[in-house]
Amino acid sequence: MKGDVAERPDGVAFLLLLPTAILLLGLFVGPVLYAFYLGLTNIALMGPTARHFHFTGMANLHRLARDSLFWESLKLTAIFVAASAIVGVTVVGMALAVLIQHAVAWLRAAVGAIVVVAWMLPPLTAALIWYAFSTSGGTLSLLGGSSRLDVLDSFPMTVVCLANIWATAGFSMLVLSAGLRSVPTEVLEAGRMEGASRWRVFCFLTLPIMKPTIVTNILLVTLLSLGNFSLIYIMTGGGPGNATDILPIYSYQQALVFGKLGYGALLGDVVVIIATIFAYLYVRMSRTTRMAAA
Amino acid sequence: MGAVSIEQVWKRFGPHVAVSDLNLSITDGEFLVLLGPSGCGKTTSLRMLAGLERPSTGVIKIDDLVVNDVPAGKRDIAMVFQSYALYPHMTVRRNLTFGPRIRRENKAATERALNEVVNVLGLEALLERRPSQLSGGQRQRVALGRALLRRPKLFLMDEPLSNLDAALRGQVRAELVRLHRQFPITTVYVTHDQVEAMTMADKIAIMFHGRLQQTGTAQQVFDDPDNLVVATFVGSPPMNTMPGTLSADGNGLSVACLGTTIPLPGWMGLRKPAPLPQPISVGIRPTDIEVAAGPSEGLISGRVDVVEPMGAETFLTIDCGPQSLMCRAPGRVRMRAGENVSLTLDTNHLYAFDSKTGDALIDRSRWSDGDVQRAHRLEVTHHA
Repeated sequence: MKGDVAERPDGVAFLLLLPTAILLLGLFVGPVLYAFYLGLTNIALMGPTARHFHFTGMANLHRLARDSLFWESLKLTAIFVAASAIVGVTVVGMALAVLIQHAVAWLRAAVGAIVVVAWMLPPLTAALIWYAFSTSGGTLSLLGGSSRLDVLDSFPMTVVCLANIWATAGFSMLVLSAGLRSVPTEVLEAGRMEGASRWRVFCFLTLPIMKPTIVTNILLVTLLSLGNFSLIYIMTGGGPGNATDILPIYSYQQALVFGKLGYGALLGDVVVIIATIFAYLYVRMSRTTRMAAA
Repeated sequence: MGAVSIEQVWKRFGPHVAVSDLNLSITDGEFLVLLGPSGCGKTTSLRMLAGLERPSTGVIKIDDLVVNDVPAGKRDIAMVFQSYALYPHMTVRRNLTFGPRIRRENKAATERALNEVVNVLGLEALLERRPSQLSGGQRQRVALGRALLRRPKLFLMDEPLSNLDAALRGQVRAELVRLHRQFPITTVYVTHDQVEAMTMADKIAIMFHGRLQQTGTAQQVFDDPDNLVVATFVGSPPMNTMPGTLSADGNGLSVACLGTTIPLPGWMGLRKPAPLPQPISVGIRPTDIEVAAGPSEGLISGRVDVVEPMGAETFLTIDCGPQSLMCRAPGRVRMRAGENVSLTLDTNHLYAFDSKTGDALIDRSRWSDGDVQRAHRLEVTHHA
């Protein structure tokens, strides 16, 4: 394999990498490491410990373990990410990709454009659209016949998941469309000739052949959803109650609403650790995909 | 059983006509080769037979049953694709047994069929491998095996050898002929390679520009092409063609070309009545021209332009005035570019085609080996 015989990097290579390395270290790795340190201190937004904070060892961790809101938030995060990444990506994205592949040209262009626009919209706009759509007095309540009908308040998690799916399906559709196009037509025709129905060809041939693309896409959307603070913050602010209080929001509330910067940093660290695991899986997956393709 | 009848089939893709008025019948057990250059409609015809494309008009019958509306999977046809189309995520074993599993066939019977196919094709060592771990030739054999396992009514092959290197192609060609003898299943084989067509076919169907030009045995399409297109496509190097005139006098037909008049042998007649004399394309194969060193009285003279030694034979390109002819000489012939030569044409193998339509004009049905003796190499006479 050609990639394995890379030359030993020399001085010039290091020099060329230096600016990026400094930026990454200074603006990314540094703050993350500092946040890990802050997560183990009693720093606060206001009061005496705002300036004179100190290392408190395992205190924040003990608190985390006993914090039922944290565990609830972890569960909500899992639901939000799973519903968006699994349902949103695999089902909606794939359905759109298949639809678009078989549609006539103008329909393909129209659906493609609409879905991609939804993806390109700033999170703030997407969030406001869905807020206006689902809250009392919104489009959905008018359709439902009563302006007091507040779907967002009644099914908050469902609505924010739908909003996230709506906003990310375009991305998935693009990725999965490319994956679909790379499945060799003759292989599918061979399956049809052997007597497999279209549905079986799709399940037994198309899907397994696309597996690397699908897994990669799930991981990417998982990462995107995990860091999606603005959508939920604007739509519900984590509420009603704690119904949509996923970790990024809970972290923000602890740090900047309740002023417990240290504990908030620790909650943020949990998000970073989870994201790192998925990022690692993603990198490993894309590497094996490249190797299989070579 | 697996007899095929294709009747008045057209296929249009928008304004583009891919296949026009195709009529073709294939008898049970026959090995038919659809031959033609790329884009001639042969693959589209095969795909219509497979059920992967619908004819725009016309009827396709398999065993006297109209199959236009029968889906590909229900036609009992196995197909070998140009790319082999193996399922990349399955082992060879799963690739071979995918069809039977999908069709919920008896497991024991499948296992028996699998063992037989694996034995015939020598796939034992490959069963647990994935397609990506196989060489081109091995993939080809797996694709064949997958088709064989089905024991279909009909075998379709779409340029199955085009992705193999030359040596392997010869081997697999022989293997296919042997397999067809062992399992005499009706086969339709698409190729642009005339060597494959000539060596494997019971019957060759030649297509050009979406039209079927001629069907017949290898020898028939080689010896008695119906038109100029077939004449110049079949045979390598291709038949020489040049403008000429066909006329008749009391002694029979004669052809004027290359500045001489060549009387044609007595067994030649016209395919159908035609006004004579008429301008024609004269055809002669490189193998039917004899080249001798030095100019000679009463023979066509020319000058050697290009010498292409092939070992067993040498191909010479010879300039005869405005015309350039390809000739075959023995392998050890000593000729150099620029040398003057004289040519003798074997008049038994002169062809005449209508210069407008390209249709063959000469009726060759009375040709026999006996005539070769009598008419061999008539001397040509120069015009004054």
